[in-house]
Amino acid sequence: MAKSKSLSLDRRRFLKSAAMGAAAGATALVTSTPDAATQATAPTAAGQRGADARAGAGAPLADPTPEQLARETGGAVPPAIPPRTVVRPGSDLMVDALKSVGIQFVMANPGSSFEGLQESIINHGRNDIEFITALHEESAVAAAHGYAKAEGKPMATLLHGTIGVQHAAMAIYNAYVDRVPIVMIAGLDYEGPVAAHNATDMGAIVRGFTKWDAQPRTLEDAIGAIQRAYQIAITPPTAPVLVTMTGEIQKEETVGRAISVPPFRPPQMPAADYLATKRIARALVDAANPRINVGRLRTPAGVRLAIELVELLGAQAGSAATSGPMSFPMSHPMRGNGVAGVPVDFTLSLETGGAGGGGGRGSGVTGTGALGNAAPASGARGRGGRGTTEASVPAGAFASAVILSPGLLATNFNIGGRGGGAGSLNGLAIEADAESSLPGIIEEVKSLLTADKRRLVADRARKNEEAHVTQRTAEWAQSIEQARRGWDGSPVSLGRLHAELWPLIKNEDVCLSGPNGFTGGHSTRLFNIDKPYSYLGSQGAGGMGYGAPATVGAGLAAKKAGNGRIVVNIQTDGDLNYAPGVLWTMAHHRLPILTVMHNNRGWHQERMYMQFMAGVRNRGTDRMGIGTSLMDPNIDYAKMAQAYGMYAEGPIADPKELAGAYTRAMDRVKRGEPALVDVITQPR
Amino acid sequence: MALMVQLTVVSRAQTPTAAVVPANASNGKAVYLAHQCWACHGYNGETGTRLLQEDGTFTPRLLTASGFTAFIRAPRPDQAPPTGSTLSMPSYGMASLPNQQAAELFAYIKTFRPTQPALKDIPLLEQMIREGGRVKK
Repeated sequence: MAKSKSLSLDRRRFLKSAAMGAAAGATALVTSTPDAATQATAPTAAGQRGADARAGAGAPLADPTPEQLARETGGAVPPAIPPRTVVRPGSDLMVDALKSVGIQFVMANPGSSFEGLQESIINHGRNDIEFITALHEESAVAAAHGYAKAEGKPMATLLHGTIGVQHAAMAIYNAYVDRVPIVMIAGLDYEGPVAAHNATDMGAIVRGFTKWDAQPRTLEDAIGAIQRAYQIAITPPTAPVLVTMTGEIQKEETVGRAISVPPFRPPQMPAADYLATKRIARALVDAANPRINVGRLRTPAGVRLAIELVELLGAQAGSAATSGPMSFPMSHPMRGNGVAGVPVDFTLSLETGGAGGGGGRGSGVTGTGALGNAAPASGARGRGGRGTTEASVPAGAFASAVILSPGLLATNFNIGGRGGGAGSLNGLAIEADAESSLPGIIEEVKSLLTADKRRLVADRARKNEEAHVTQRTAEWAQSIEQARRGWDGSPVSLGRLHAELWPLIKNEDVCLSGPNGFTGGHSTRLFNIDKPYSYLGSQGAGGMGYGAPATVGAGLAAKKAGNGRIVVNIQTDGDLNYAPGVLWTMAHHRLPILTVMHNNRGWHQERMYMQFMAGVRNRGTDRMGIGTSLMDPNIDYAKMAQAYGMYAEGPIADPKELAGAYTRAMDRVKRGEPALVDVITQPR
Repeated sequence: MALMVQLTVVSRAQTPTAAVVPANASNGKAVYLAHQCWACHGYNGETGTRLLQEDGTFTPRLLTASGFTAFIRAPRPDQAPPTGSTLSMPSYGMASLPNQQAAELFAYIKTFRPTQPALKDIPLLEQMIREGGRVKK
């Protein structure tokens, strides 16, 4: 304390002496002598030294002035120098444009080409459009892919110049083939430090598998491009779109300019025309035993409409829900193949569904053929009845109709390989958005349902329901029998891996995010697939590294729902290792995700392909683990997850340990955080 | 995971005319692991493309050693190999799997016993059956 006091006193004395010096200087300034004039132009430090010397010689110390004290204590007001700030940067308006279309999440790893936009999202937008931190651009786009499939609407991603766009390319391709809308913004900074990050035509890198791209030159165009991009992305066929934003227009000042974000106008979706609507409704009502195959629709609203139409008609319904989202509930009483032996006399197919996108192989529409299951009427082939009249094609003269998003009937959406339609177009083929076509069909059906027809519908619905209970009871028994195989074996069978989850999730609102193609298909057999987001389906183009990041998107949708929805992802090991940083994103953003590792320690399908190849060449299969195994050393996924900040258990090879581990992990998930259980599994 | 240790004990010296010693199931286990038969058939023949049927008996291919050997030599004797990727059964010629090893492999596979209890002895699956899953009545 003594030392402190001493220091304090010394400081006071210093201030007094400084004040004396200043006073002496001031006196000198007002003295009109030649000496004084000289002193006024001399360095003040000399005068200060002289004053100090006099003060030190015993002159009384004056108190500091209020200005001096203010300066000394930090209360001084700095001189009024205009700050070099941008008050209303262009990127603020870009954020406003993103808000205008309803974007709620943007995911990216940082890049200097969009620093202006990122700053605006966080500060101008107050992070209302929540910035989700990615560790890889591919993860960001794949997350947006999963989000769109869970929500039926796009989120946004930011990509850093040429390098970010190329990192993202595989995920963009998956989303394109899967017909999933994503709004992507690429930064382009001509002033940036690395010229190689720039391109004259940024969109060219991924133009082969994006639906639309733009590189606006002005801020006004940029705002319009964001709204236009969103419109195009959500208009069938839905797909990713890209807008390239230069750093220049992100950072330009807009104060004093009459520029604003116009209200967003949602696009008019292409619906079946009036004539086609009437013909389909008439055929449905006149059919003795109609069937409606529901593929993947655009949004949850479309699923509700499909249910309404099916119930209105008491029709049997096919579902693509075990292939992907936005299809007919698997537990609905009308879902099934109807009464055995009673032929279907009219089939309406709504879009295609499931894996492969593009309407190619295995449209995912179950049951009778999606297209042309009966002889066509003359002139019925075509697009939405174009070139035909109601009189030339009598109602009921065709036995099937399909409504497919524009572009899918003929072009397969620019994806090569298998054709665009499932089978020949023998029925009435309508190029339109099925979801938007349903309201018209429903209204028309209602107008045609007489009292007699309604009695027939009620009778048909009752018979279908009874038949479907029988069918689904058999399905359920078969699913459980499949889950029983190798029940007590070690490593853990895939059937048991799934079945042990059942008691924990049977009463939960669950989204199954990962593809079931490599996990034995148990998830879509054993768990409820009754909501538009119950199962999100496959990668689209089969690009690995999709499941884990798509789960992030599903997790965002679940967290946003705020009703306790959880995400369960049966995660293959090969897929996770493409970009495992998504585990950190799950932990950082507190996403309610249970990840269960299907850890068979290899790229198992590829191993089997290699074995067959070696057999054909009679060279032996004993070295086919080379290049297909993830052994030596084994990867510890629990430790990996823990390193990223997530609760995790495992590896577990004894099936008896599963229930406990799942319970503990699920407890975390229900509290709103991710958890992982690493399970060593049978290969298949 | 001792089962997953890669083994490389397969001899290539045997010829079709060599004397075949009695099959040794332990040697067969080494063959099963080294040739990664578990990739399709699981570590106990119960999962994937099963060797054990639901009633615990073996599939018809495994009724006799000679039938088994004939099958693995030519799983599709009348068909050309597909040109696309396939998960079909590979063929094992004499050069890659001599008769002795094929016999030992057969002997090992025949030691498999089902690990799956009867449905009535798995309370969880019994509960699932009772509650009906997606069967809504």
